[in-house]
Amino acid sequence: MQMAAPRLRGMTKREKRSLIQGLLFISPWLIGFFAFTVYPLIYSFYISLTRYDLIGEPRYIGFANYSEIFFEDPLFWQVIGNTLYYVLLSVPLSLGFAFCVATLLNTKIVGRSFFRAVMYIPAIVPAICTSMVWLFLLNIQYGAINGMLQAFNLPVIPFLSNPTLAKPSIIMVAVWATGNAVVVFLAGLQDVPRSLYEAATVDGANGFQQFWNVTIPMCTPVILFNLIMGFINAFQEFTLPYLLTNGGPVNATLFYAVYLYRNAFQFLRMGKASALAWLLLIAVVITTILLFRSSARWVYYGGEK
Amino acid sequence: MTKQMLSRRRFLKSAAFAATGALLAACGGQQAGSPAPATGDQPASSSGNAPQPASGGKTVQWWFAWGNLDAAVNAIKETPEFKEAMGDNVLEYKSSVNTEAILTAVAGGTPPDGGSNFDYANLFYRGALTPPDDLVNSSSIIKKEEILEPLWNSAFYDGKMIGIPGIESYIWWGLNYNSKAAEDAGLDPDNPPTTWEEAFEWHKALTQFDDAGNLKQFGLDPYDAMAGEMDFGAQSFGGFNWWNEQERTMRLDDEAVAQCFETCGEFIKLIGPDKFSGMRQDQNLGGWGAAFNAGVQNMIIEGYWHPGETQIQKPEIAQYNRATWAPVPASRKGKKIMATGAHFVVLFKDAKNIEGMFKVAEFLYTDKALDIIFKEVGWIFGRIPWLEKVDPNAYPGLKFYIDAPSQVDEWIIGRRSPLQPFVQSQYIELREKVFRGEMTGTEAAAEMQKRADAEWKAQGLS
Repeated sequence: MQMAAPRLRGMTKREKRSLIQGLLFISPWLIGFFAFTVYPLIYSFYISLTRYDLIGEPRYIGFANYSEIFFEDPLFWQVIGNTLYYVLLSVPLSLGFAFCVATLLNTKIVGRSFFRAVMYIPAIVPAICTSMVWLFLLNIQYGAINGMLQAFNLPVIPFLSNPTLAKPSIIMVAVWATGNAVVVFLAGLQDVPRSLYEAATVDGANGFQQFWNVTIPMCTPVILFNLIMGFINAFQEFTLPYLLTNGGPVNATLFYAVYLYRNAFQFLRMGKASALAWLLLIAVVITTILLFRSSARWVYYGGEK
Repeated sequence: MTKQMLSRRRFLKSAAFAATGALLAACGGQQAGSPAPATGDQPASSSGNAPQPASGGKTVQWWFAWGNLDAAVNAIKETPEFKEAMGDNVLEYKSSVNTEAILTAVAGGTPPDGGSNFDYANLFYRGALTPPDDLVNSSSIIKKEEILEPLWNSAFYDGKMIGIPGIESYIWWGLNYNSKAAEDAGLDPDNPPTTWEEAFEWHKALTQFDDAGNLKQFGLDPYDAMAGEMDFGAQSFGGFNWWNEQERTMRLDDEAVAQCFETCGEFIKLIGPDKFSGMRQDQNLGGWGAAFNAGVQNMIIEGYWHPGETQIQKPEIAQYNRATWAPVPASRKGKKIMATGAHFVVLFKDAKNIEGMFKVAEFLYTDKALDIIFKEVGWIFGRIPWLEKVDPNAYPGLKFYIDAPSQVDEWIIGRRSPLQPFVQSQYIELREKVFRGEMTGTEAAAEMQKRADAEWKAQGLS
């Protein structure tokens, strides 16, 4: 404010009028941002310091919710383990898969537009629909995949009903639904100057060398973007574990967001759920900062330092 | 250059006026007496475009947790008796309302006037409801002496009424079985199991796999429907209620609870835990009672609604339905256990039309409403003068439920703990650990007690 006040005083009448008009123009967004983002964010932190069941008044209890989460909750560390397993496997696999698909779709193949549209379908179909389809495909007894295995006298696979296989199965579904990343990668690939490939060809680089030394470095800004978005989304994954396994079997797919939801609406622990939400926010922010910091070493910004 | 028709200043001024006007319009509610025709033919579950009350009347908002009652409510709304009882009030009924919606409405200070089939004890315990004692006491329609005694008792918590009993509510536990499947398996449907040991023999006989090892059908899922609740496990195996309402204590670390874990686990082990979980993940078999209706499950422990609901939803299965007492361990052979608990119309604090909602509740107690609900949904209400008029053979298996109350040895009032949802979630997790061999029944019972005590303390309940 100390900085802003003299700046305002130094403004001409026209500049002030222009500022006010500008603020008026963005006021719907500003009002929405403060009312529906900033205020709930601050309020949720206050709630995280209370005991609140949504019915009575919140009662201030200091950091007791945080202490309970870290030192007394028998499920918290299992939930962290499940979530990290999912994040650390699903994000790289999804990005790798999306990048490979985008590279294929960037080549001159017959029906390229059709394949591009097909790859994007999983991203636009509601998650609840895809979950239902995958439930049908993966069921141990009535599922189409196991039906085919049986037809060839192969053993069935308990994809979603076995504690060991449930997490990898959900990761498989997440990797399949990675159309958004494909589109972003495709845009990045089309931005790579042809001249670089021509120069590499003249230098005698083969296809793989061009991919490794031209395509990937030139796409690193897009990879960074997808990596950050991937981590943020994976930390918050709710729909797939909720619909496919509801956190089971024996909590094998009890991910962070599902656990948070249970505390909020099943156990009426809105204070604890808010504390969990804040811890998630901190984890996401730290991950994002680390990725940004590391980006100086591996992201190529076309000559910028 | 064309002449500028609208200056930036004038545009901003107009935009500001328009925004202010829109804001004021959004903030101003519908005027109470605004005349609008009551259509009366809205779908029962609709909340948008709801019929408006006539001048001088009010809207009555009633939220119902499930979707089964829609057809009955539609029919009730059309009866002259209901229209007369409501006067100028108009019922705005909303069904399939989930817990999140009701909690959010309560937290936001905008609850409906009444609600039904929610977690009553929890809402009451935490102060979301207005006790209707005075209204019920002064009612000429609702009479204590007409209602099955344990059911009437279930309407009270700490001496205050939770809500107005009506709609449907009666007795909760019976072993319902498919007599044809039993016969086909070489069992005698006239001698159903009475103990868990006998039930397991039936389960073995009724469980069949195809050549590929897939589960074709099975006997009893001891964790399905009402049997899946801790209330049932503790009462069946130990003859006690795990929740002591007077002392506000929980009895979970108990030998009987451990035995429940172990015995019920054997039923799942016979099927195979992965196959069992896979069967429950199937969208046609996973829901409450769905496997029984599909003819895959042949025994199920649930209550008074089972005969009627099955008849209406799946008559080809219902024709073979029979019901008897829920099993107990051999050491308690002969004990006839039963739970009850009323479904109410509860009145929310901050409700705007308590009187209108009470009129609806009173009507849902009458023969007219109960007849419609019985016909449309198959549900019954433990109001003795009405029960005496019900044909016990209207639905296969219903007779057991009509006759049972006078023979019960052990009654409990179920779902009373404010920690019920938490304990239930732990029960689901720990029993799976037992049938997957990760824990013994004794360890699971001790762990459940430990977690429940910690949660009680953490929630600051007293």
